[in-house]
Amino acid sequence: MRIAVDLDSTTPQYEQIRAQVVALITAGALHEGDRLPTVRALSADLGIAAGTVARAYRELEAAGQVTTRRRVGTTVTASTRPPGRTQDLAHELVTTARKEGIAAQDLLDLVRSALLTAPQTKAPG
Amino acid sequence: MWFDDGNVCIGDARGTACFPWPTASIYVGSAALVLALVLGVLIWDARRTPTPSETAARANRHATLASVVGVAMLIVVLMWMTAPFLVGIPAPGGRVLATLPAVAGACLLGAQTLGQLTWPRPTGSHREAELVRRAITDVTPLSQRRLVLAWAGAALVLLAAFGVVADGPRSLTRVAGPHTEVIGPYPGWYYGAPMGLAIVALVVATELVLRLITVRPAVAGVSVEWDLHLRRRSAGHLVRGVQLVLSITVAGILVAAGWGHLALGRGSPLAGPGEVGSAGSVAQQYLGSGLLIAALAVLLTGLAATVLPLRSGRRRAMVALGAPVAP
Repeated sequence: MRIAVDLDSTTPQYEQIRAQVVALITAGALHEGDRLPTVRALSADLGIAAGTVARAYRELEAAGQVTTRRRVGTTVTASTRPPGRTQDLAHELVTTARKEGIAAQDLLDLVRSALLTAPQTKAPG
Repeated sequence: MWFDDGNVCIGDARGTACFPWPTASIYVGSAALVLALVLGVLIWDARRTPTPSETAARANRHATLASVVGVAMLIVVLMWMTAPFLVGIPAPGGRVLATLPAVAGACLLGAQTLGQLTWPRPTGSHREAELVRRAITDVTPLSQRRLVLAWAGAALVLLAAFGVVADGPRSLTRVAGPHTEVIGPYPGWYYGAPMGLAIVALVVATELVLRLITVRPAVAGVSVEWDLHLRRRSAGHLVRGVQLVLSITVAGILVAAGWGHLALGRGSPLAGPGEVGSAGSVAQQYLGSGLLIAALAVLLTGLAATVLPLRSGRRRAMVALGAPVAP
């Protein structure tokens, strides 16, 4: 499991880290109880400030995706897999898009436009 | 050091020792041979590590340089320590001599610290890292760290025991009739206090440097196994060196105490005709001999743990090191 940070990107570095960790948790690559690297080790490996990694971990903790405890470190708390068929359909969408040669950015644009245009429905419960 | 009538002389305010050229050449040649042999093994070990990229090769050279400099300093200090016993050059003060193994270990730790602190940082605008947690146990086998703790614990226990047994700060005392004989040097508190402090400092510093090795930046563009191999090599050189100097310390304590108890057991040479003298003690002689044998065993164990490779699996792991990580 590798994560990458693009220093030239307009997306803040902490946000790039946060988004990739969330994606790994959602995809099931990171499971509940898995330990993340220490802030110091990850910042050294990426060659970025420790504060940047610490902020990404704080954001993850605030979202309830990881928890940080003394001596134990930062661990994944729970999978954020959504209920229902949404994740399976997302997989199917990506597979279909790749088969049809649609680039990742174009696919994201399609999903964003669907989010804007699709009618809002009330969540059950 | 100076040359006098075909002799090589070494000395200072404490004394002077002169050797004929052949003797001096044999010692200097042997020392150079030992140094070359150990450093040659280190460099050979580094060169057989497959390096999948230029970055990996640079990291390999950096790690090797830190180890070679550290081990070279360790060997030079240990040679300085053994020279008074092997060739009879004037020995430094007792407390300096007693703490020289720890100084040798500190030299090794210093070189490794410098190597880790100056480790090449990631460059470029695109950075990658493995999302895996590294611990000290990943870079050092538990058995090696336990050995370091065992030697340190044994040294501290022995120093405390001999400190209690000693009759003076650094001696045993024998009363033979009207005479009182002081037997020393004995590892009492005079030596025990600085040695104990040096041992504790060495063990704590070793743990800190192992942490540095664990958290230093990963080598870019190589597999996790390759990066871990390099960390393990650095940590292995460090822990092996530290356990060696600690085993030499334990052996030194046992030798000093052993000679003291042997001398105590031999009886007093001071008791003159008609005087009631000490007849010696068989128990003390047995104790002294036992301590000397234990010292030899400790030294051999320390040397074996330094030079013998770890259990299998290393060669298998080496095979998997060559491949670069998939982009």
